[in-house]
Amino acid sequence: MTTEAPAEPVPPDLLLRASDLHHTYAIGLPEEHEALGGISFSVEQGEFVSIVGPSGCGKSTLMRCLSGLMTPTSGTVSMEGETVTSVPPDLTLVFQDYSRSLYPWLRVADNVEFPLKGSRLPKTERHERVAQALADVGLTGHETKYPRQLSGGMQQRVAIARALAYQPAMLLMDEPYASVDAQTRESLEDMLLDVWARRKKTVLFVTHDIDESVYLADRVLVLSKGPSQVIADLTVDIPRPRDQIETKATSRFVELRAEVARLIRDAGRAGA
Amino acid sequence: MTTLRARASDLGIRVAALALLLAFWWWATARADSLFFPTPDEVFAAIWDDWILNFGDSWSENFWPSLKRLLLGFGLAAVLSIAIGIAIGRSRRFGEYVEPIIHFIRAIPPPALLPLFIILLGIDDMQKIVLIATGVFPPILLNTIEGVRSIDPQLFDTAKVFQVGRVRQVTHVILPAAAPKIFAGLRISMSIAVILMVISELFAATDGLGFRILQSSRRFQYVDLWAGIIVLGVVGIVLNGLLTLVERRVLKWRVA
Repeated sequence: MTTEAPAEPVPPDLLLRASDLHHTYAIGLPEEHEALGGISFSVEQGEFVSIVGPSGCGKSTLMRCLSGLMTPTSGTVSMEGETVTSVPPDLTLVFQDYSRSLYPWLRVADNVEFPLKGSRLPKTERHERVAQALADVGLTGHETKYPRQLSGGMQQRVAIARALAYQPAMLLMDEPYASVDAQTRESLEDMLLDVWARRKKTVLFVTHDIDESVYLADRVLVLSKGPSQVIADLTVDIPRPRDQIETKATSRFVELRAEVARLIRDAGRAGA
Repeated sequence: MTTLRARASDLGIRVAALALLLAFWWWATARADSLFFPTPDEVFAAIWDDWILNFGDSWSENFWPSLKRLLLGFGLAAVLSIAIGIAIGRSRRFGEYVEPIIHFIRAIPPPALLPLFIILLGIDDMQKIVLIATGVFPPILLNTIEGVRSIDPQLFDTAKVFQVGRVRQVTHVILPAAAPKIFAGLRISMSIAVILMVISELFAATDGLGFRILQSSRRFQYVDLWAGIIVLGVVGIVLNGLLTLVERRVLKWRVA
């Protein structure tokens, strides 16, 4: 990471900012493909922001750029005022495909502890963090199992626990619940909201599920079809704590989800 | 699921097959009454006397020299080929440069190099160790390359988003992820190592298991010749068994 003087004054609570991100794959080749068409937004400290968009709109490309795994063709990402050129230490990413992200040769507790082992944390502190994170996601008692002995939902909990134990200021989540069943998904959503509120994290949550995006977030960013741009930034003014049944029955929730759905549908038409 | 009974009958059949082979051996050799084909009881009596009752001497004159060559050759080649395999597996370009060379080396039957090694390295242990290492190298190398190339890139992305450095990525991501393939290479190589160990001891040697067999033959001690062959078979089985034990321990996560 290099330090660069920010071009404009940064609001004190601003944590992550994307400025005019463009990304094009295979430049100059016949299969050239523009995934990001100028994306700008910012996330403040402690916010829960979700990003929703039609499938194939470059959500994963965006996440890879934001996390520093990939350099965008143009535009910058800055984290705490510093330009991101590799993964910032204060940020981590939870991948959609948990089965390819957990290390199959490590037991649950060792997977969660893995990122901490390279740090200078004392052993007792590491073990405390692991125990706490596993308790947060409701996996106490599964420490010595191997990932493949767990169900998909539990594996994704392990991946989330690993990210929590790492204690980043910013948690990026790339469609983390896309491949679990509906009931598991709801319980994972509530688990995440609970941890977010108690541990005071900042979360940027990508999903293609409109209900999920509205239910979880303070703000919903709607992306257009690729090359994607932010076509709406909606504030979700629904009080917390939220409830899977009560919240989703409120008129405000229904209005907001309809608005997001309309935006996505229109975006799809415009691109077609 | 194999039940206990099924397993017991399985074992029964194996024991019966072995007994049948020994019976045939005994029947054929007793009838033939040939100097070259001793009966099994003579052979096993020789194994008992020379290899078990007299274990101290056979250890220092035959087992230890052979094991030393085998383990040094195997170990050196394993360390080198795993290290080079990781480098090639991680760098497409490096792989493209050196792969033709590797495939050419692999195509040379290692025993063909023996006369050359004798000229270059003399007739001491070094020549035998190098011969074993040369034969053992390609299978481990090629398996390591394949294992490293087939690692899911997301495992590296995961390491990166958790600030895992390059060295730890090698020791804690690449090695365990490629371990199943590496062990496949090690198992192939172990058999090759035993073969080359014997071959190297059939030429310009003064000790070792291969030398013992050659010497028995030269002295027309055909019972000892057969005893040596059987001992070599047992050595091969024990070495493979040990490797399998290590493999099961290291790859415990796959079956747990």
